[in-house]
Amino acid sequence: MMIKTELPQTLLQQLPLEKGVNPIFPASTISLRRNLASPLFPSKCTPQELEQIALDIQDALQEAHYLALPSQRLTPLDKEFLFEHFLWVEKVQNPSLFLLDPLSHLLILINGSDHLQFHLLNSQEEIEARYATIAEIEKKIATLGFAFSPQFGHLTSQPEYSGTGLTITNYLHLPALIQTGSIQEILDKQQSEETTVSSMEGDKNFVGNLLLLRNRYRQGVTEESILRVLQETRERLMLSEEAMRTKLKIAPSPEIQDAIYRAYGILMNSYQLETRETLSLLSMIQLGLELGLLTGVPKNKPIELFFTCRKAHLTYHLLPKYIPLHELSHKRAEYIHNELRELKALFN
Amino acid sequence: MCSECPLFEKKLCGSKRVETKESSCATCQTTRDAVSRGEPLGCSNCYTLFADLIYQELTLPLLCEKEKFVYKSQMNLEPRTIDPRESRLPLLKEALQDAIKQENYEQAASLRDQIQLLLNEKNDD
Repeated sequence: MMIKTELPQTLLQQLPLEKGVNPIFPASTISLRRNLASPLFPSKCTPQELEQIALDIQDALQEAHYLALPSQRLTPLDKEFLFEHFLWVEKVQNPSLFLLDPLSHLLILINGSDHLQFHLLNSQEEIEARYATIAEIEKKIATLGFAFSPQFGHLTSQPEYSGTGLTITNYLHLPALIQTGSIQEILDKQQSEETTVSSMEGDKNFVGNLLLLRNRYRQGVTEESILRVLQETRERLMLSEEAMRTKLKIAPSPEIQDAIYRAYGILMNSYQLETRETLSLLSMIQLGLELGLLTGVPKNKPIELFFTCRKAHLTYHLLPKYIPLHELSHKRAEYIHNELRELKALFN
Repeated sequence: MCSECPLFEKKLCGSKRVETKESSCATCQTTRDAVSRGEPLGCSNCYTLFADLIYQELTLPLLCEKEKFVYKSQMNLEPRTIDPRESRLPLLKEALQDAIKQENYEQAASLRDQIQLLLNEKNDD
């Protein structure tokens, strides 16, 4: 069975993250919510009103040549691919339209929870510069007028996002801190009260040793202070992770070494691999490469696989054939074996 | 927590419904009950009508300093790009001191090099 998709080939063939990502800080996302000054927010609009709003926004962004993807033309797998690609972890109401920038770095959801939700994916360290990009685009739409109050700032359908409407998420890969059990102590010491941390699934289990660091507030703080506080906390956590990795290189921990070699064994010899398990194993492989216990692939290769081994990416990677759900974990194992075929363990 | 803080008031009095307030929005028909259940707001007017509930929902420590609880964005201002070096340098120096204290000399050497690199870059600018 062939898969039909409305997504552009440029997007399907593109890795979510650019090559050569930082293995400790692979990605960040910037999300900005806005409502237009029209009387009603999306949940209360009629279909005709929603259509008009979408047209107005498209007109305002005409020069930017965004690709318009109406929601009803996308399959659930297409949508899942978009959310995976843009590292979208929040719950989202089905929007009426997706706008995609030509480089596939920016996704704009039209008429989801709010009239507009900008979502920018960034795999460089310069979040501050990327924020300026999103502010430029926002300015183009600002000609339509935003729902705004001097007291609450930008008005969103969920009050917790009102104010700046800005959420910045830093993806931090911290296997040394998490696996040695030092993460809580480091967070107690380094984490600012203005930030919050969670795993990709919203809890504190840190699947794949990935920690999501984001701003807690959007009220009473400026965009600049959000950026500054996050940058400072991120830098501190990165330095702590680097220090712990150096410590593990000098004084190896038998438990960590065992976990790395076990991860290697399972990952390279499994017949089936589920996503959560794969993320955790890949993380240990990355740490093994860093500590010199494994060799043969670039140090950031396991991090790239983090983002390509998930369901929708894997399915489209295996195009044009449709992969039934029950075969997917087997195909994932095959994919990982192939991508890491040069990986070797160095036993001392 | 200050005496005027809505959180304080909520702790004292609970979140009892104030009967005198309007129970639904004339613009979008969103009800007070729906807002208190955490359902999305339907329009800008809801922010005026249900301001008391919204204050309660935004359980921020900043609420306790009422004068701070105002929108502080720089609307229509260009976002200033922050020089990452400004905050990285003190952090690196701090980490260097920690590494020396812990006799982690390999890490200390790497940190020293990073500090030197930043200082050189700054001088070049």
